[in-house]
Amino acid sequence: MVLKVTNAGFHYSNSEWLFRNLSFQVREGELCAILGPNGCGKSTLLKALLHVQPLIEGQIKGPERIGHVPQQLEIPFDFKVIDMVLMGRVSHLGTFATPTKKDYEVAVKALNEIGMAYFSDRIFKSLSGGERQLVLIARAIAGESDLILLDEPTASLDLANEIKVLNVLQKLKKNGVTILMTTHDPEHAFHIAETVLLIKPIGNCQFGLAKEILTDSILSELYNVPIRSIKVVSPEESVTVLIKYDGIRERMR
Amino acid sequence: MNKKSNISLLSNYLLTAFFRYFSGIILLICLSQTFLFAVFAGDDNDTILLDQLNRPIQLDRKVERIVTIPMPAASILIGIEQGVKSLSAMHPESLTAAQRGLLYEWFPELLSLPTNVVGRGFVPNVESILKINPDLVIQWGDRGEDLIAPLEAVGLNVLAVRYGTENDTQTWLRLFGNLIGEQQRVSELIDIREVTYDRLEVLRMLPEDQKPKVLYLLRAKSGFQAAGKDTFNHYSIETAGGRNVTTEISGFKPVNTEQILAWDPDVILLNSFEKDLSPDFIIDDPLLSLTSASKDKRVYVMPIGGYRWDPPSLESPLAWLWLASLFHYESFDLDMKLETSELMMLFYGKKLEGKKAAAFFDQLSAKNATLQR
Amino acid sequence: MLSETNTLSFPIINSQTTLFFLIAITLLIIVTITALTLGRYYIQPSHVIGILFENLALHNTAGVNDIERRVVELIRLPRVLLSLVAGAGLGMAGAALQSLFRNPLVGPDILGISPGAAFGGALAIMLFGTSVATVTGAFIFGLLAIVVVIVVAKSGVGTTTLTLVLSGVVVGAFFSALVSLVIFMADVESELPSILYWLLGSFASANFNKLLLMSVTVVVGGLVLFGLRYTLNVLTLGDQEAASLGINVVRIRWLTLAAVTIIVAASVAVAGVIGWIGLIVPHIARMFVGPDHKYLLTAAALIGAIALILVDTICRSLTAAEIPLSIVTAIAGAPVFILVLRRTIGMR
Repeated sequence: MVLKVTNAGFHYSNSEWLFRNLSFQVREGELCAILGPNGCGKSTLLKALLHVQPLIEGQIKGPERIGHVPQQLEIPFDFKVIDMVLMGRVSHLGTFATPTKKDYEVAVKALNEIGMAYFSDRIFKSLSGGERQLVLIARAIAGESDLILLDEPTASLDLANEIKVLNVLQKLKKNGVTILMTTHDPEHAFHIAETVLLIKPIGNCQFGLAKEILTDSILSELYNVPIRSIKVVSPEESVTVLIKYDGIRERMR
Repeated sequence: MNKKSNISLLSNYLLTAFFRYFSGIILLICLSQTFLFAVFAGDDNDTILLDQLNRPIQLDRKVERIVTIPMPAASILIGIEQGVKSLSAMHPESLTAAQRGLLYEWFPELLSLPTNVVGRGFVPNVESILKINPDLVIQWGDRGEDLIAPLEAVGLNVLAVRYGTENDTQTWLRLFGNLIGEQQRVSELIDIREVTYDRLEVLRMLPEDQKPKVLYLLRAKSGFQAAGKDTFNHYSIETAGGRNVTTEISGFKPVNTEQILAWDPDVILLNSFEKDLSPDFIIDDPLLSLTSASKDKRVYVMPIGGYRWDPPSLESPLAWLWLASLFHYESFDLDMKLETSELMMLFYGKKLEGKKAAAFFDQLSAKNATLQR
Repeated sequence: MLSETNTLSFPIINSQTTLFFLIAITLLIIVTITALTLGRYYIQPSHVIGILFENLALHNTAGVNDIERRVVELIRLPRVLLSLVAGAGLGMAGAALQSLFRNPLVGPDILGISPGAAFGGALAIMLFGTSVATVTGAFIFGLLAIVVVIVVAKSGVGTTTLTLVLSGVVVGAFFSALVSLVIFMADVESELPSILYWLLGSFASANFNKLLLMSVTVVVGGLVLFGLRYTLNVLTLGDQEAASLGINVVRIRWLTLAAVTIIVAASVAVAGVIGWIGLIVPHIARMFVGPDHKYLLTAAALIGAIALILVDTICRSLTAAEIPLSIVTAIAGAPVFILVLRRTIGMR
């Protein structure tokens, strides 16, 4: 067990519970997706796991070293890609230490892993959104942590970049990396996640295997729109896709 | 009575000066010609004067109560009247100078005058001034309209004056004299200035290399500030036959030690303002001890007589004589004690007696002590 | 992909950065020696060199007189070295603060250290009037100001960079008001001009004691900052991001603040408030070596030293009257800053 969360609950001061009685666990090498409507507390949960935002109640049992890929990162200075990736090594170094040759090699290897080694001297700020996301993933890899958290890794990416990022995640999983990610698109969970955590309004969270949980009725209820899955079968393969836009089509008719 | 004896003293002084030094050179200026500013009768027979901002001063009554905000004005007014008469309030610094010098000993009633009439930066305290109900307020005219407007807004008569040159100072005297009806007395005081100036002509005629290089420091203890070529201190130095070294500077400017070494003054004059400032401050300095002034122990602190001798005042002629006696101690032999006694009697009608006067004489003759060291 | 790995080699210093450091160090040496030969008291450059290397018996010191020796040894040497060390310190302090606040537009003034130190110095001039008291007062009140800033910042929900900036601004404004109060209360004839001149900033009273104070603080503060060079990089990502990467943000922040504070307080103590250097120099340094503190801190130190020596040499030798430091830094700094901003922000 890499991560175990029991009865987690959080609310901001003077407001309602954001989530409560939230329990789930992530096993080694698994990819767990967190689904939920906007504002349900997905990012807050990640912050709690990173010890940046303490919970109001509940326990977290997790690894000391957690890699983190933020949704977006604005930095004021022109750091190079390689510098950014090297920053992932900071948890391995003391306050007054500076990266060694070994750290550097790890960083380069991480860049290689996502196929971006030729980017190493580019300025991070000048990259596109998709490229930045990949570099931040490389940074998390370089951290050699036991768990990588991703906050909406494909938000605001175009289709090509979205696929690229998902490919990289798939590849990481294959290499045995444990991943916990939030996503706005249930289809991501459908395709790459083993387990799924659904955060619904208060006290009604659900956790389980992806194929068990991602049923039409649960998803429809979660997002409060009609969603159905259909199986497309062709001679070569069979794929399950989600049909999410029934409501719109209905109205167009 | 007093006045008469003063007049005889004055003519005595003028005559001796005349014969002692420059029979041929002095141009005695007719007393009546000294009123250079415009005086003319108004419609209602009011006297209309122009102050130093060229604004007409319209007075509908005799000036009996005056508030002085510029610091040297208080002692000048006392000198003109030879007593605390029309002076009704003054700048606190005027009192400080009076207490450090001799004026307070001569006129202890100074202490009872209000000094709360002015705040930081010469900003008048209008309410305090109204309480005094003066006929006239003397205020700086070259420091912005804001110092004058609040006074005029409440109907006070303001005489705006400028700081700086000997011309300005003589104009002060004439204006003050006119306002309090002491034109005669003021022209005598101006005569003393001009006669003394002419007495020193012989020193100014000396070739440049026979004049000592002089530096006046307005500040010494935290950062040096030198008086530039357009200051009254420059005028005093040049009047007394010295060469002011700061020809590249105008106004009072900070200078560094290296610049003072480069100037290498023969005489260094220290201001009378900074507390506990003594010649040793320069003479014992590891760097300034290398100047000619330090080597020859020709470093002097400006004295405070009735008022400070570094800014323009009634006593400027005495300051010039003293400076001349320092600059040209070999050729310009002067009985400073006698000159000072005579002139102080003319200025304030007072004798130099007592401990403080003795210390003052000591300071004036300090050149002998330092030169013999 | 493996071949790509081979193209990257460690250490990462590139030829452009190496060239910059070579040029900057050479320039610093040239500027220092040139500054020592300049001044209001003319001394032949060969005599200056002779006096400097006298003890090494490398130079003939014939014809050097006592005044020249004392001018070089007691005036120029401490003054040039003091501006060198203070410039280096302010450059580093500015670079570290800009990273700490993730804002390239902040300078060392933002934390209220300078107004605090200014108040201490002004108060000391009014009460004691001696140079030692002024330096001590400025240094102590500079440190006191940051303590107040921290206490104020902590009184809220928790210390974040934002609360720190806000309390810095508040405490700075408070101490600025106290400076005004001292100016208001100071004796107009004797103390006020000294206070106003000191507040404008000057190295005119440089001596070896001041040099010692400045050197110790810059060495200590500089070593701390240089030690933090890598964590400071991470801190530029923001508090939360840095924390989520696994560094102790609070500790690093206080360490950085402590280092910056002693440098800035000492600089105000020895030379009054010196504007602009801490703001502009880091930008110029970043233009040459990039934002990595491994090179940025050293580059900022070198550029700061060169800049402040140049400025102070102008102040002390251009005219007979000493020109206040802040006037020159502001006149030279504003256009440079606009240029730098155009390059770093506007061109993107």
